[in-house]
Amino acid sequence: MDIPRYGPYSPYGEKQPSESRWALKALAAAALLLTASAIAAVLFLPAGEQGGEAEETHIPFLGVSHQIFPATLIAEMPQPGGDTWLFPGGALEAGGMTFVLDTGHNRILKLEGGSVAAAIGGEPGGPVLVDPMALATDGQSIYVANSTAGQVLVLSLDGQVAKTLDLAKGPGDAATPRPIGVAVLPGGGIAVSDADNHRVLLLDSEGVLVTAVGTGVRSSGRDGFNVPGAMTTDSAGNVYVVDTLNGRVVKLSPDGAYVSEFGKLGDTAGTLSRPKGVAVDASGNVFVSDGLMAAISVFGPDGTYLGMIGRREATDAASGSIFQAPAGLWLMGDTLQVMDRIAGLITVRLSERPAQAIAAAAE
Amino acid sequence: MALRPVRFVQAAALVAVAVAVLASAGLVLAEKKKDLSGTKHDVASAGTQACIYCHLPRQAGGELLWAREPNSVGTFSGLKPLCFSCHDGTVANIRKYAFRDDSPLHETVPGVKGQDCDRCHDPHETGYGKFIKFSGGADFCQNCHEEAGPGNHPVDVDARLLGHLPLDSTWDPDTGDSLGTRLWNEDGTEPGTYVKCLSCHAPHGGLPDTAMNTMGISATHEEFMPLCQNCHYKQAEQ
Repeated sequence: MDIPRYGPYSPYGEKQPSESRWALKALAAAALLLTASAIAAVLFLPAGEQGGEAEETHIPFLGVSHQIFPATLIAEMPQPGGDTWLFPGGALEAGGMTFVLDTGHNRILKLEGGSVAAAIGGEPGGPVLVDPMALATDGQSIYVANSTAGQVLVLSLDGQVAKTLDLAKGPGDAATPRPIGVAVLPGGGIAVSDADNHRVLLLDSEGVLVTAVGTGVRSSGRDGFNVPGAMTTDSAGNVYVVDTLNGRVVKLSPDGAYVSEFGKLGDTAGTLSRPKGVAVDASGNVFVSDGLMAAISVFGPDGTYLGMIGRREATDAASGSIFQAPAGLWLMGDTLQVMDRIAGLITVRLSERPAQAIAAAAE
Repeated sequence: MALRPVRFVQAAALVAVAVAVLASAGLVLAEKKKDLSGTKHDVASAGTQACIYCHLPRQAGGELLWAREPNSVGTFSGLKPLCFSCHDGTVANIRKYAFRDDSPLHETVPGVKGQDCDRCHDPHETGYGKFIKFSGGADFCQNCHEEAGPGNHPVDVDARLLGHLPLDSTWDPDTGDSLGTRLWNEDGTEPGTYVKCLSCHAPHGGLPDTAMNTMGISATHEEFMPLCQNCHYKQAEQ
């Protein structure tokens, strides 16, 4: 007997009768339906018009409704020995070094020349990291969203604790804040995602709450979030927040007002299943990693979906993904750095940037 | 025009069958709809339903991003990506030992129905805790492992009455199900003093090369068998 495998996309739950009694009842219903259909056919359909079953088929991906941006995989840094890092939550460049957030081991790794030079966290007198979920930098310091501790740690580049910012709850919030995203604002303030109260907190440089954006409960629309996560800023100080379970990225003004959004929940081209990371280039194009779709979606500054990055073969729509669970993103020149929670640090070269694609399309 | 008697009988039969079909279908649909309200899987905001976060809505006329699963091979395939998409520290706490491929995990076959994460869990099942789809509490293993029981280490015994309380009673599921022995209440649903299957076995990360044991046991290390000695310390001291 063949082992029943999930059909395409059925891991999302479409084709799984979860209990056998349902299957039996469904079978019984189907049998009755078949009987009724047969009787109806005998009663009402002329013999010549019987037959001709409709066959449901999936429309194959043709690669014509959106652009697959050519992206050349130039570097992968999987976990050497399987234990260098575990479920890394993000990474960034500061002071000429790469800092990798080793979430699974509650530490930060400093990489030099592609190998681990030092580990921050857990040593006596050093920072105590508890499920750290995000990093940010202003070039001088490292900001860590220390999620289960409900705080943001400000570290020097050599790993010493400069400040501990215990997060205050938003007005009326019930849960202890659980920060899973952090960004440094141009004026020295900090933006933090509070996943459990579904808020974005804007703090001054001392960690004092300035503005709490959101309703305090799971929400959608212009006023709320449903698990706000990773965030980044643009040169004007706008804050881009991954709104995880609303399947979008929300753009906030520097003072926290809703500006616009990118994407919506779905599993088709131009929608987001489980957005995880966000990066914005100098032209305002927004890159969003999708941990479930294993792809990077790209949107123009006005929210127009431009295309995706992720096929192993850019011209082969059926080829698999170069990612497994992409999360943290940042741009460096013509490369896109992707911190994949499973596969590790992946660097791809973008030979065709979205801005160029827009210009080409307009000609 | 009056119906001929034969046609009348046929029509009556059709109506009867149709009513039966509708009633049966309604029963099936009513039972199939599971109420996730108030559970940890109810992640919906006002005006939406929890279903859409896993049973993703396709946009009308939209083209699937992938014609098939983006990662259909390897250990991180099947249901794991879907579960991990929330249980990665964002929506829910990271389940470190359920998703790392270098950690001993109860055997699963990615992508095979009933042998993946859904071997033990059903995200819709709210009756037994932790979305486990079997009854039995901390003895739920016995739903498949029928050999567990007589002839093996006794379960469902009160360790307190036998004077065999473990030396370490610490149990922290977030540390990987492998740092200690835990005892349960009689139902196997809460901490207590009863020995259950999950007192010594951990489906999310027991020690390597063991029967998912929470602590070490080895016939070649007779003087150091922590799993046994954790409870049978009196005998061990002799």
